[in-house]
Amino acid sequence: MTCASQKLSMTTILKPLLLLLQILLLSLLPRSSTASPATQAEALSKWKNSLLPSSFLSSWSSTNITNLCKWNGLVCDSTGTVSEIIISGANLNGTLAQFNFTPFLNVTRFDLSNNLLSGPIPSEIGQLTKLQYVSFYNNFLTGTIPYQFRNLQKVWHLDLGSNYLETPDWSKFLSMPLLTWLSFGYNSLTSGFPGFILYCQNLTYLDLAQNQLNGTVPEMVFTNLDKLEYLNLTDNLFQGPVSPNITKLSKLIDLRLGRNKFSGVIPENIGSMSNLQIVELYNNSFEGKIPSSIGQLTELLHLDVNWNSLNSTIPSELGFCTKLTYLALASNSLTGEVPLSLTNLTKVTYLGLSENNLSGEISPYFLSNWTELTSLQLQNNLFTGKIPLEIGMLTKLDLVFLFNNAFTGSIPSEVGNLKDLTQLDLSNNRLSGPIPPVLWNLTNLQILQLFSNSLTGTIPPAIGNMTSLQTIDLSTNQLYGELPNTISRLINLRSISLFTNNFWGNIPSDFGKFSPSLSGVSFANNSFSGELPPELCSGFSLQNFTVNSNNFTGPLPECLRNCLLLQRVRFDGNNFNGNITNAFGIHPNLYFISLNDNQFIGIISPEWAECGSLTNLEMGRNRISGEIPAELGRLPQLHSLILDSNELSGQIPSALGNLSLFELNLSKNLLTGEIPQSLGNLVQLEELDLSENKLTGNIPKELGNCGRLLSLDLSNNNLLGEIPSELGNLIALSVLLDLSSNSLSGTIPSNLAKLISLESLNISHNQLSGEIPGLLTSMVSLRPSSIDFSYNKLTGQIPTSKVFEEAPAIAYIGNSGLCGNAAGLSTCYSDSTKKKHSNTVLIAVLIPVCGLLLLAIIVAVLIIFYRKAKFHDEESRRIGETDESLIWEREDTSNWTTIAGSYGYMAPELALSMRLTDKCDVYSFGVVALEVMMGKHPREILSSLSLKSRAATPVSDTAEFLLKDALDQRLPPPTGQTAEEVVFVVTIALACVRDTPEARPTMRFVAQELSAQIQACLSDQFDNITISKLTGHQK
Amino acid sequence: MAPLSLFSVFVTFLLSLTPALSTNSEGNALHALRRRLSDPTNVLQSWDPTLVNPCTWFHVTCDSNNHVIRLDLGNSNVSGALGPELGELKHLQYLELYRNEIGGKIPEELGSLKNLVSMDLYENKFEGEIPKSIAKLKSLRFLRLNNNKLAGSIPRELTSLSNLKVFDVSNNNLCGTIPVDGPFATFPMESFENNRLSGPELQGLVPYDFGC
Repeated sequence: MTCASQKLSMTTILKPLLLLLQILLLSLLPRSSTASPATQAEALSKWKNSLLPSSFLSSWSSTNITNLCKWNGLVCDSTGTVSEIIISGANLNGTLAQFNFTPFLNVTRFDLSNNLLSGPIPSEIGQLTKLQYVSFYNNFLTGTIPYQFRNLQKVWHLDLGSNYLETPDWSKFLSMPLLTWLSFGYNSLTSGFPGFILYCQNLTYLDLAQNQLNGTVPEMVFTNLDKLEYLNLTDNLFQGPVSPNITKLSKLIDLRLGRNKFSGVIPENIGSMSNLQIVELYNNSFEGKIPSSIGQLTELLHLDVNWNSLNSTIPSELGFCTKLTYLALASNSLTGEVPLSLTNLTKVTYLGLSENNLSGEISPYFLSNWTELTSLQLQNNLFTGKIPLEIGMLTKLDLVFLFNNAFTGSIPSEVGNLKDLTQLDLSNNRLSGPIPPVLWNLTNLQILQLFSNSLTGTIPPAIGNMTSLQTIDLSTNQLYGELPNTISRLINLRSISLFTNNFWGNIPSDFGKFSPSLSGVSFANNSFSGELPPELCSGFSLQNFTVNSNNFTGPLPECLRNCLLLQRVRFDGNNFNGNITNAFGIHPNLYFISLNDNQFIGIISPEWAECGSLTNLEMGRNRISGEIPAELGRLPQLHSLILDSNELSGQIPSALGNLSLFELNLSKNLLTGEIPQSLGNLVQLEELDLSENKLTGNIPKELGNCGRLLSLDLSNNNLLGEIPSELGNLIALSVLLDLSSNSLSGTIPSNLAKLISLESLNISHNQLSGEIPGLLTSMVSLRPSSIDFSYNKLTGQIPTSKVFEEAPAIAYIGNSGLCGNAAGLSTCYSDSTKKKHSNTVLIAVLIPVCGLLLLAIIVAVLIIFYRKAKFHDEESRRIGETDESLIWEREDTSNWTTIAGSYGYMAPELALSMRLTDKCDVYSFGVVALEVMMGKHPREILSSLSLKSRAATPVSDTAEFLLKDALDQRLPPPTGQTAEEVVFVVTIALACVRDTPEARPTMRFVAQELSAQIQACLSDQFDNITISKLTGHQK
Repeated sequence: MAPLSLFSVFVTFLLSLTPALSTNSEGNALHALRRRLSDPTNVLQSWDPTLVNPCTWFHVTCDSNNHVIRLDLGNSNVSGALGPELGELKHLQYLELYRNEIGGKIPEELGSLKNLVSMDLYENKFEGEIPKSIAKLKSLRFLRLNNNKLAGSIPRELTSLSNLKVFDVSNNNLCGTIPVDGPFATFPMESFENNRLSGPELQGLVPYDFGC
């Protein structure tokens, strides 16, 4: 140990002592000089004058000094000076800045609670060292808590709660040994747990609730503050698990840790804190079990573990907590059945088990014991079985929520005993049978929800007695019959939902007249008829109004026009026949309106453009006439504009291109003019249907920009010109592309081949010509039954894929020039067609054949190489010596059991030597070309040519074949240009099959010749041309 | 201010007092999907769970019986993951979720979409294996899973999908061999490229998950 370190430890001891001395001196000094009634009165008057006038302080007057001790809110000691200041709930409004603390050094109690004081707490508060009781509770005080509070070492009660005080440097605070009651609750404190509190060992009451304190709760709270009876940390940001040491707080009565970020398990031994009456752990992340030791908490009145992640069963020991009045276990993942032991909880008034995975039946014993219940919440679980009749014993019930379970059976009529009930929600169960008539006598009921069950029966006139009713939802049941007239008497009604039942008849004609708050009405999906009651919307409160899918007739109620709050309106699927021109006004919140499928007449008002929230404007299938107002282009949110099947005329406004539409259907109208190019701006459009109008002009190529289109229908118009190849850019197109029944001309753009997701293509009934592009085989999603090319001027071979070849005949009918392997079409070049061959067709066939052949040859050669490698040299030599004719014979007899090549097309030298050259391909091509021209394998010609080349003398009887005899005899003899072309092709082909490879032309030369269509000049008559004459063609 | 703290207690009380909302199971399933997805461009804004059914929601198509038959969320800038609820859409024919940022596994439950014709999940971030349950979708014509992060082998069960016309798993991380039976005899090699697949299977010679 060095001197220096000793000195250091000396100062650490001395420092607090010196501080204490300083405090003592400070408190002694001013006492004698300032504490007189006069100075006190003067100080108080001065402060009073700084405040807004308060009647509480009317007795405070400098002219009334002698009666200082009788001033309102002051208590004097025996010396006649003020010892207590208690001004609570006096509407004091101002600050403490003008309060002179110096004359009040003997004050023991300073209570300014429940006033309107603002500004900071002056640090001079630290001078009042005699203070025992301090409360500034519930003011508007701001700033940090002054550390001078540390001087108030005699304080036992300190309440700064419900202000806007901020975090001081807690390290400047000292322990306050006499403090038993401390509240900083509901302020603006941040950062961690205030350290000085850990040393206030006499604390019994600690409230830090509703701040933003964070971090973990220090272990010392549990080990040092063992006198705590009340601990409230609610609504902070404390985290981490709750230490098992919490059980050391054995005197604790009231534990409130709700709305923090605590995690981990609830301490298993919580049951040892046997004084606990209130336990609040709600809104945390506690997981695991509800400890069974909780059954030892026999004093427990209030248990709230809502909104955690507890995943155990409910411990049966909970039944020992017989004093419980409030039990909240909702919004966890609790499983299993409710233990029967809970029948012991005879005092329970609030029971919340909702939002769990609890199952099983609700025993009648529960209900017959829980007679004090005011709230029964079992919703959102897996409960089954019937609702026990004993529910009728719970006559104090205010609220019953059993929705979203699997309860069966009927609603017990004993529910009628629950006279105090204000909310009853049994929706989304499997309840059946009628609604018990007594239920309609529950005149205090405000909310009645029974939707999504299988309830039957009618709504009786007694419903008129339920004058408290605000919400009634009976939708999605099997209720039927007419609505009773008394339903109009529900003066507090806000929302009525009867959709998806079997109601019929008229809505009572005065419905709505006495229900001015009516904001939600749904009668949809029933069989209601007649007109809507004219005063239904007379309260102008309507927001949601859906009567779709009924048989309503007549006009719409006139009051609709003035219902400015309308949001969602559905009249679709009825027989309304009024004039809609002025039926609606300006509804700034209206987002959805459907008038589809009625007989409405009138025009589309430009006023719709003022309903700026509209997303859906749907008026399809009516008898609406006039033009489409260009003003609609101003609706920024409009996604669906459905006006199909009306009598709309005029042009499509190009302003529609300004919208952000997903769906635009203007089909089946009388629209004229051209399709606006601006529709190409609708890049979000998924469905565009302009079919069955009188549109003219070209299809704008800009439509190719609508890259999200799933379906495009422009059929049955008078559209002209070519199909823009840009339509092939609509790669999302999948449902339909229908351009049929127009006057489109030109060829089908091969760019359409990019529509690989398209399932249905109809371009029938146009003037399209040329071929169906072979590339369309890439449209792999097309169905054979959903392609239609009929009634055009298409020619040539259909694309060779299953889809096109399996299509029915009607897909191609009415095109005289199509051929191919499909029903109703002639095979291209087949006998039956008797059509003239054209050179181009031949070449078109021959060039792909070249490719295919090449492929076949390569495969064959590879196999040959493979096999050759297996032969010994000797054997291969023997083959080399073999005569060609023997090889041909080997097709049947050789030990080459499976020959994959096509000998008939193989060059002789390849068959002999197995040596592959490009001239072998040329030979094979020549054979195929000859076969095409002759309609059979040119075996005879080949052998004659071969013999001729080997023999010294010409063999006239074979080589002198006439060309016309060699050609396919099923076709008529070619004439004119065709004849020239045939001669040319045969000449080339013969050159290709020359015996010596070197004498054959190259494949490149052949391709060039064929595509250049150089004509052979016929020196002789076609009938006289011999094969041998044509073999002279030189390379 | 004291009344304020009372108020906050009251709010907690109210939280447990939300009455039931009316919607059907398909609407619930779609709304569950909405909750799983992040939707920065508000594509799902119209998906209001309080409506009778989801048939007026955008990008959802119903048949005449109000059953959902199409879900068109291709190219919609949504991210997140799919959940088992999608299996509730028993009448769904078209599941179009292509070109998004959806990750996680392809739910096994999609195998209960018995009427599905098209499952387009391509160009997303799906991972895990291709569920075997897809083989139960006997009406399936289009199955495009390309450009994801799918791993494992191509389930052999898929060869039983006799209606399958288009199959694309290119640009994933799949392994094993390529099936050759059933519709797989017709799919082009491009549908399988950029994986770790080891070529067409040689039945009886190499196990299909060779190299996995």
